[in-house]
Amino acid sequence: MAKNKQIHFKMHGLKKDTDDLVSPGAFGSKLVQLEKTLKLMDESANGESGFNYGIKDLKIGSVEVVLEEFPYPPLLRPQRSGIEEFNNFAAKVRSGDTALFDISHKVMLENLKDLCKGVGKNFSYAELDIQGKNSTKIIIDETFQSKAKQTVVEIEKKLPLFKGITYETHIGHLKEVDLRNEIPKAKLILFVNRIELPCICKSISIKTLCDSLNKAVSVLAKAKYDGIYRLPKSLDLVSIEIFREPGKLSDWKGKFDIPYPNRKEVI
Amino acid sequence: MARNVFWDSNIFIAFLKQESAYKEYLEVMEDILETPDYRIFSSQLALAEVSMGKIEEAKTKSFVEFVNTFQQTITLIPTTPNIWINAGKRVRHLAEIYHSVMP
Repeated sequence: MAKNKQIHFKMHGLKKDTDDLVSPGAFGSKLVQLEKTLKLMDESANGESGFNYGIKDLKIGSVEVVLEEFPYPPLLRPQRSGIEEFNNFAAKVRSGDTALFDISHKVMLENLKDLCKGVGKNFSYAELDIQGKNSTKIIIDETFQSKAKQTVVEIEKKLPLFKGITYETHIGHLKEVDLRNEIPKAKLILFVNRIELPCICKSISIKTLCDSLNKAVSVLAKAKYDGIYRLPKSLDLVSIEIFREPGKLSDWKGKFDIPYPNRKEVI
Repeated sequence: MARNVFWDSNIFIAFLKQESAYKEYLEVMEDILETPDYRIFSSQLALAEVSMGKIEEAKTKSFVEFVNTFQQTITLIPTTPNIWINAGKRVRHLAEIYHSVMP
């Protein structure tokens, strides 16, 4: 019968002020995060949760715990160990080779980032060791943390972006209307983070443009995407609607009959 | 410093319907709406989901007025094709892990 895998987790405190002591809060939160990450690795490897994790040993005189993986339900042992998956995954992150990852690994990487959170601030570093053949001892330190962060940044860069034209509605303030050329131009400053989108206004009358200047508007536009930038490169305005003075959302309490679909309808 | 919160359609629906099951949260929602420190983000999809409901006949305010207020009170994140692409990839990934995308 296959033996249950174990993982040794040891934390080291910051030497400067607490004589290498680790706060109970830091230890507790990392232990919870480690269990969460192991469960995620198990689900990812086996398609569903096949293991539970329990504390096998708490070492005396150091901040060290041994977690053991046991199959749940007990008689159905999944093929792949969550602990081994975790070890392999963390070793790949440590190698710094971001080409090994794609967007499907993002959830795991985010969990690993959470495991690193507080390194150098709440604790000095942590060790993770599965003490088996072909295993790698993982050191959770600031270098590992920056590699995990960098990997997330790199995989996000790999996402394909849309290239083409769509019709969209955008909301913002219309600024800098320029009537000097044959085709009038303007800038739409989006409400979201005040992002600036250049607009072509060939289908809009001069009067509408003048009325809309410096006002909050909702525009329907042909949006051009270049496949490089996440937002449209430019908007070709089709129509502009100027917002009236807003009321209060609270005024609309109780004035709606909104149906809640039941679960069967959703499925 | 502004505090950012994201509300999905269920929050708006609970608020607008004044759902008694969420009584303890309704006051918090009201506070957030009234406090200038908070910036509420939502998605254009949430507005579409809220708009599924009809305004009771007896009330005179028009639907356009509601949308006007909603769009100016809440910072709506536009649903661009790139958001759809990412959402699609995320759903496929969750389906691979959990064999379902339902909660």
